Amino acid sequence: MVRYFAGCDIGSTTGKAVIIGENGIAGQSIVPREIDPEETARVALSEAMKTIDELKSYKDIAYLVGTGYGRSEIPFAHENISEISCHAMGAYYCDTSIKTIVDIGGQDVKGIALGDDGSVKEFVMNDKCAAGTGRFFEAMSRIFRMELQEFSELSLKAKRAIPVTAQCSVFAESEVISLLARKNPPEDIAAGVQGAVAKRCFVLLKRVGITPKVTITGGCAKNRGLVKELEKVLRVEIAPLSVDPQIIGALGAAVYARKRSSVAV
Amino acid sequence: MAEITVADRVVSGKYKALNLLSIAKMGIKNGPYDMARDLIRYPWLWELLKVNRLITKLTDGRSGNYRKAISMLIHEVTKEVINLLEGIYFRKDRLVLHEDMVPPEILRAMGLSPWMPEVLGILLPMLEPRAMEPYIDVAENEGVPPDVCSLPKAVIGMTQKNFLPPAIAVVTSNLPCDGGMTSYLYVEKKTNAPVFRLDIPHNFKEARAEKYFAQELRRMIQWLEAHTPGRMDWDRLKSICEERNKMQEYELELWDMVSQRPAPLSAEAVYLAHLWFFNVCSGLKSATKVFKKLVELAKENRDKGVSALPDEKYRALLWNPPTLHAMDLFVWAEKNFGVTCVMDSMTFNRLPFINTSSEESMLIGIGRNIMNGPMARHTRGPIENYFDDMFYIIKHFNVDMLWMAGHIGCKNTQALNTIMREKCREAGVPLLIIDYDLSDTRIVPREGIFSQVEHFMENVMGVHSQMTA
Amino acid sequence: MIGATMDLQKLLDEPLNQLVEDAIEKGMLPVGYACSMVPEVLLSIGKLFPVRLRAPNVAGTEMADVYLSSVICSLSRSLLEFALEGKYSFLKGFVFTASCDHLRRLNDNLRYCEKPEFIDILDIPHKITDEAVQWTIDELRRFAQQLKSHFGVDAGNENVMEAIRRRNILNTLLRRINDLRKSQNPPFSGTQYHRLIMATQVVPPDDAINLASEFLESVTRNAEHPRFRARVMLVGGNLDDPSYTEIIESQGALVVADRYCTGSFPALEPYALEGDPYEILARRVLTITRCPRMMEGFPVRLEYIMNLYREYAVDGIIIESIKFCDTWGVETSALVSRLRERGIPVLRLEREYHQSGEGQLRTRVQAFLESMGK
Repeated sequence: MVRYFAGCDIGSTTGKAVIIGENGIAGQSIVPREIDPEETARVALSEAMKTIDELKSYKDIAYLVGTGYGRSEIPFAHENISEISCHAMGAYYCDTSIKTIVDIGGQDVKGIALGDDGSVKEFVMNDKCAAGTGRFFEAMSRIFRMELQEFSELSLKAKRAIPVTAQCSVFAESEVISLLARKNPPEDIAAGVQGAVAKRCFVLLKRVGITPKVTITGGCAKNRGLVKELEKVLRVEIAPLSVDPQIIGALGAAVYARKRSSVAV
Repeated sequence: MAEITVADRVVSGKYKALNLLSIAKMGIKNGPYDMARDLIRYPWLWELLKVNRLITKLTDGRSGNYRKAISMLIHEVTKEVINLLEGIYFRKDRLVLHEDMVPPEILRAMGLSPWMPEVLGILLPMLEPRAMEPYIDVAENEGVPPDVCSLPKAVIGMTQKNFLPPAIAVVTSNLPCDGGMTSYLYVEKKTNAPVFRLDIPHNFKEARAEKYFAQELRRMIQWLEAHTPGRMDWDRLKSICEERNKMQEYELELWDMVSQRPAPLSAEAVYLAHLWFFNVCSGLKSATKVFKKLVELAKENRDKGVSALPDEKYRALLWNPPTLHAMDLFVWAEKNFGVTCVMDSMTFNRLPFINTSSEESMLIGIGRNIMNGPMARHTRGPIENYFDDMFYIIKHFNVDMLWMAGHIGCKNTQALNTIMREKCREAGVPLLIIDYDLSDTRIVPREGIFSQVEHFMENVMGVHSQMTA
Repeated sequence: MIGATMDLQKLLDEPLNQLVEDAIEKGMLPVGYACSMVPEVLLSIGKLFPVRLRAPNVAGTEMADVYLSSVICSLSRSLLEFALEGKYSFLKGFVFTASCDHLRRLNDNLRYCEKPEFIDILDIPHKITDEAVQWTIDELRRFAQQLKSHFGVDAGNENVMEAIRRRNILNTLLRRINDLRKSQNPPFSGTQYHRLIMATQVVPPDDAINLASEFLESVTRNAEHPRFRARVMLVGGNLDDPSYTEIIESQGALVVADRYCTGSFPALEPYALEGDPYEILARRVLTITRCPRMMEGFPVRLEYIMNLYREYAVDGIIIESIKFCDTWGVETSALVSRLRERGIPVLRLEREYHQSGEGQLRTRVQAFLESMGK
């Protein structure tokens, strides 16, 4: 029987699971967060298992690694590893030439410098403030009465970005509301918001160094407007990963699961 | 950690006794009445009486020749401070205040008594960590912006309190930073003495800058001759320069030994010696003797295969002035982590000897020393000045890590921290930037400095303290 | 309202304004400079034209702070922020002077981060002696050589003299405009003047002359005579945002005279026209800016302010300095005490480069006017 290894990333807004078999990723899922992290993990894993007939129950998984802020709340995981290490490993698994990751999750932003083997060389984290995180974008798109995706597309249409401070998400909200009230073109304001977040990433990444290849992981990687601004501000091309950037943490956890299981055997 | 023997205790005790003797002699020479009056007039004199505490602090856990070198050094500095004070007591009519980037050699050659106000700002916090804080407050209350470097602020505060000795003239310069340069506006107003200002070009390493500055020095000499009883004695200047060259020869010999792993002497034995004797007493026979002695002690250690630290694990390069109010940083780091400071940015330089063949050549040589003076050689001019030396020292002195004493008031260096971080990362040199203020413990206290080091050693270097602080 | 005024403000809203864009289209080459000690005349030769570096409406300096730290003045940080944002990408080069620690480190960091094709820093002495003048002449000639090898610009004596003559046309116009501020009821506000003087620093020289003559014509024809409670003089370093003057004037102060680096004084005094043009420029560089970084100039600077105070019948002086500026920080406290000793009302203001704390500024100015009994 094929042995399967799984990673489960319990984030602040979503739960992600990745299962790898002999030929790479066999199953994956992204589910909204439940109140109970354990429940989120169960749902995510069941979702991911759907595409794998051989797996009837998550108990059949050879080794399971938990990660994300709820990582220690998954009782059936064999061990848990920090999301920093998992993001690094996940990105490395997709592309071994990745040297820098900017990870923008639901409630924090991380900069990670990778060693040659996918290990973490240096990292920096902004987790004290919501500005620049997924939550921040949710709040912003609410002001524009749009879905995140729409907001992102809107910003791409800007002719001349209007600078937004975004030192703090509360102030940024009121700043954006008043800019909208003054009848500034919404696309220019949206681009300003993206620019402000990109600048925050610049500040963070400068502390670990911006060595190409650079990639972006986490839910906000799907925000094309942000990726474009990041490329502009960081002055590097952001390499897209071959898999959904939102599951990189879970993928890294699954890769670790495979490694750990061979050690455990 | 070194074992402290009875002989070690005798050595430091001897120098403590000698210090007391020197201070007592000064009191007798000055007379009890004048001494009492001066202790009221210059309250900072009280702090100088705490010199033996510095010996205790800096010899803690240090043994053999290393202990001896440091005890001897502190005693010699004490003697020189007393010599300077005699200028205040007995040669008032020849007392000239000079900023730290003005060559005292020329003043001495002119028969004048130099007094550098910054000396107190450097010396006092070593003896009493909080000594400068009242003066910093005075300066800020006078309207000096709080962000200006605390060293010139302390000078301004002392000036406002009338704690600087009355001088017949003041000589200053535009080095080492804008804060230092502008502070003399206060000294000028308060002392009411005539002021001469030396101008040092930005690209001071160019030959035309050396010529330009030599002309400035000539003008300074003419000005001093016009405003003071001092007269230039070129022969005297020549012997002063020759003496300095001799001292420099010894220093080079010392550095050569220190560059070897493990270092036979290190930390204060290297940097305090340079800081004081090259900047305050250069050209004095007594200063040369100190370096001769240091070389002897280092040689003896080297020949016996003894190192300053019995177990030298890491060699640090200290960038920026030493942490004055936490002078025992390396005493502590040696004990806890086996880290010693083998070289620092204030000490290391690549200056040639002064060519004493003509007046012009001497002025060029002295001028070069000033333009490449401590701090100034890195904080002024293009960034190459800063980084070339840094990476040269790292290589040449076998350095394992760079400790940047990130004095918050030094805008010149604060504005290069990120470039430094990136260059160190590229070169694979572990870098610690210590956030603190040079002379104000209220910004970051000694314990705060130590905990930053601890954090760095544990998290970046992966070593744990050998003992609790 | 003077017709040209709105247009002037438009020229100041972005570094790349319409007139600069037009000039670039015609093949002219804009070179950015910071500090009034940079001889703009040398950047006004051939296809070159000078553009004073500004960061209008800069929204925070997060990226620049990474490099310069937050203890460097916000002017330097804002300029680096704009550079990192790519807002100066239209410029063909940068010129600085080693005037202060902050601009020197801006130059270093800009060089390191942006690697511009042309960037130069002029080494200007801190005092005025014959040797210092000679040093400056040599330095300007070295710089001219750089211009020649990079841009192919011939900054020979004749061309420099020609540029000086053209600059004098502008200076004469500005002087005439400034003279109108001496009258009891000046025909325009300090804000309008501030917009004009700033605009002349961010457009090609010929456009600057046009702007100034249009302004002069318009204020002679259509005098506005703003109402005011007191005549004030504005003193300080780099102040390139006319809205600062506007807030001051909103409280009833009329700025009738100024002495700040981006204001009248670099423009007002005409250039000498006799002798070696490089010596003319060198002497001007050393004497004109009256920057506190000049070590022996405090008495001269104080006297200059006193003269303006009398000449423009000023009621009170406002001295502003950007936070963290060492030279102006110390100079300001010295000036304040000397001016107060002479019984002159003085208001000291610390500010950030970008407009912030508008309410506090209004309150302070209002209280200052009240304290003068106006």
